[in-house]
Amino acid sequence: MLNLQNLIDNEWHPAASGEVIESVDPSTEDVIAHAPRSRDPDVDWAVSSARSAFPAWSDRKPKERARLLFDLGRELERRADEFARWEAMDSGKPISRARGEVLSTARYFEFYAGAADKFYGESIPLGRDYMDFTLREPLGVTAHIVPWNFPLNMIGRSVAPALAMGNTAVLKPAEQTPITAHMLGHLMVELGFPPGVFNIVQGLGEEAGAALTNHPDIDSITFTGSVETGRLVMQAASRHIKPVVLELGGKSPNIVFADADIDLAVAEAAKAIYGNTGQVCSAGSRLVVEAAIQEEFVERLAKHAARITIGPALEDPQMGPLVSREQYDRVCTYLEVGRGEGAALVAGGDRPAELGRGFFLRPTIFTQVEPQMRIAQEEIFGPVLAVLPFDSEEQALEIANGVRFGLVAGIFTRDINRAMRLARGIKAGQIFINEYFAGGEETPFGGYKQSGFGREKGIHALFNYTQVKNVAIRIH
Amino acid sequence: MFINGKFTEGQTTKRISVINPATEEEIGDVAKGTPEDIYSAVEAAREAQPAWQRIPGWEKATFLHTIAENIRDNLEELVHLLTLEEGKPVVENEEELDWVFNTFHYYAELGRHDRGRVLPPGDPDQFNFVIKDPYGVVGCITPWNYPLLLMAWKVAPALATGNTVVIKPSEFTPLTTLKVAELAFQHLPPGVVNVVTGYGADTGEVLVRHPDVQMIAFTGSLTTGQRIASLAAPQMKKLHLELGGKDPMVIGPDAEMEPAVRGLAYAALLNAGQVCTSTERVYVHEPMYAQFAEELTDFVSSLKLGNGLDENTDIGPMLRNHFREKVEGHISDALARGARMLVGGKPPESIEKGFFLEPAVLVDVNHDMRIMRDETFGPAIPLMPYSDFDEAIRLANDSPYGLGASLMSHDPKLIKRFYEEVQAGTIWINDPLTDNYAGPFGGMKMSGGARELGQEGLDEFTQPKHVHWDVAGGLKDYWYPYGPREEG
Repeated sequence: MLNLQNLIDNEWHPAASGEVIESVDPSTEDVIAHAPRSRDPDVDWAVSSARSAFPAWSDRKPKERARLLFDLGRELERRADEFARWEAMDSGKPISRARGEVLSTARYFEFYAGAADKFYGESIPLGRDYMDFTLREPLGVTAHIVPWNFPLNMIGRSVAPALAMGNTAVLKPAEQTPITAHMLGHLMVELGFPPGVFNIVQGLGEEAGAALTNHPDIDSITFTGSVETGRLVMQAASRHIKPVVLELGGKSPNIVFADADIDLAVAEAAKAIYGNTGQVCSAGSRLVVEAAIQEEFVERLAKHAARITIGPALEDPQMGPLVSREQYDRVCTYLEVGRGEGAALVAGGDRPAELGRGFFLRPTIFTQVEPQMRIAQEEIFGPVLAVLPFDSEEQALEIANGVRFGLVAGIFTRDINRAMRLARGIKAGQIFINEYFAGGEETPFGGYKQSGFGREKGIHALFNYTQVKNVAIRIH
Repeated sequence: MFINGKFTEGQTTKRISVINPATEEEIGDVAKGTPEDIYSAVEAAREAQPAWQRIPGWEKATFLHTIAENIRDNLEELVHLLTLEEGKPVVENEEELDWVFNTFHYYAELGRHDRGRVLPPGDPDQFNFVIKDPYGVVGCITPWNYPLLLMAWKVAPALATGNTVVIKPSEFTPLTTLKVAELAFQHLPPGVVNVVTGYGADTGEVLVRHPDVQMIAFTGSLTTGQRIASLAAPQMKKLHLELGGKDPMVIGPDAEMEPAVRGLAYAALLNAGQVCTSTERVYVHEPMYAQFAEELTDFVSSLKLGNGLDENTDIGPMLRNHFREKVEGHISDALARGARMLVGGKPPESIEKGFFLEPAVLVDVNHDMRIMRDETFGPAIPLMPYSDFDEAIRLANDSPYGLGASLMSHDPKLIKRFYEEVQAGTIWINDPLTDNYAGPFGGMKMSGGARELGQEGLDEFTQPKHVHWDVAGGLKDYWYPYGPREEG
């Protein structure tokens, strides 16, 4: 049992109230950690610590900030096994996937370390009588609220660019997955990050999260999570006019044409919806498949799904449990909704009989789904696939765009001209052609429509953590 | 000539006559410029440059937009004159003029928006930034195949970045450049743009050697480019050379027959093959080779040669007889080494005057033949089979040139291999020879390293200047003395 604390000013503290929340291993349902249940006073303290640290940190030479971030990346890589083990237990994801995620987090720290001294302002010619420059300056104290589906990775992708640009940060991890953030904090203190540059307040969204987003002395909010919570974050930000980066949900289409490489498309369709037990904002939760091959394709996909191994995260199955009892219940509710709407359950829909404890659910497929059904419109965030057939390219596009979200889309076809046409027509922040989840730390990620705005990852993320100041000098 | 804002016949009475290549008739004459004329033009440009550099970006943009509008207001006259002196069909000259005025519009705005960078500081008390300086006076030596377009690609970015220019047009096609000066450059401050007509030895070389000319922008042959480079080397002059090409086209194994045939004919025969990016080598996947050659031959046979003013004309004359003779020489060399000609390759019997050549299709060629090695610059299409894509890429790269390269395919694996592995400044997939104002145009290897168009084409005419400014004041601990010193 771990007893986690908040990191404020490079020191470890329990919540002012002394209260804790339990973190459960979803594979075993055992409590594996206690984290502080922080509220306003804890958040207040963390923000003022970050505020005090800001002037010195932002004045540091960019290459010095970069050096610390590089060190952090390298050390994370060295300790990947240890981080992966705790990540797997805390979130339920298979240990090998957790390890991959830790390594990707290391890449984020390296990538943004390298960018620290390569983000430019402009010198603008205004003729004989003026000098004019733009400066790209940090915002100040940036708040980061990260979700439980990729707990450590999301910290890397939002905190690394913020620190690289000279901001100081306050992080609120998800209450379901507090452990690796805590470990990261320890590592940063050990590596010599100055006090107050990186602070952690653990707790619940409606308490610590709300306190952070409503705090008058933060300068931006980066939030990844649901549309509903995103709306609350945006409202809170409006009180003190803070910029927000919102990476919200999705109901992303994975479009398969009859001319696709079907073996590949089956495997990728499974990866798209069953990877991380479907708990991915960019999951391919709607299989939009050409009607002529629907029957054969779904049959093969169901066979593929039936072979997916399910089990406790540390045994490294292909699919682990859902993250929590609450999430398990939510997904099961949608199974009832789907049945009630008249969709046909052709795979999964229940617990694997051999597993006694843990929040496990078998890979699930619904057919006879109409585009307007709730299971085709709402984000379920579990291993539940809705199959929607189409007859023409135009119809595929209409179905793909027919939801309030616009995060990603997959396209499987051997006709590159058609793929490029659809890529232009689909309203989504990223398009995957012939490989679902294609991209990397270098490529921008974010949503169209209600999937949010702002872009994380890549060089684009640096725009979230800087503001522009123009300096015009009149020469007399 | 147009020097310091005035039209002049220069310091000579000698003339150069200008010939219509479709009729071989004289259509006008221009002054045979002398070194003294170059000196006058450079002096005017040098004197005008500092003030031109310092006028605000929006005002320069207005000047450039006015050039564009003046050209657009006189399109018909310019298209007609260009057809008379260059020979290609009216439709191609309309396209050229469309590019000319749009290039001035484009660089008017790109120049207005251009800016330097402010760097992240090495130290909080240091302020580092980069501004872009013009070179000063730029000599623009332009060719005869696209006399106005290639003038615009140089003059527009040069002016937009604060340079002044001296233009030396080709002695074959000087009339349109002088006409543009008359119609479109007279509102500029005197000396900002100058035009001197004449031969290379009397004018072009004098411009290249002139110590007050800081940059030479040239489009033309490799031989002339090498001559310019050797003349400019002692002065360490900035060179912007867009030289010849021997552009390959690969017909992919999956290519659709008709678009490949028609696209190739356009790429190889546009302006009678007198384009630096003309397709001059074609590699066809072996299984479709015989049928491709047959369909290409049929299509090429259907094209109509004639005076560019005739609206039914597909292909106009070549510019001069000696250019035609060079193409014929490449063909006879190929035939002597075992190639077969399926169609064309000789002057048409039905047309008496003019430097016409029927477009040729050759097969059984190899890389020992001049027609696959040297720039042909005329209407000849040599086809060679390849067995696999590795071979196609190896053949495409087997040339000292690297200007453009085209691929006909819809297979993303081949497309990516082609654009990554083929050494050429422009890669065209399924649509050869189509340019884009916003993208750079230029060559690799011996095609010269310059880029025209796009941001790159603007940056070529500027040199970065890095300013390091300490805003703290006081002494630095890294200044002398290094060791401790006794006081007094």
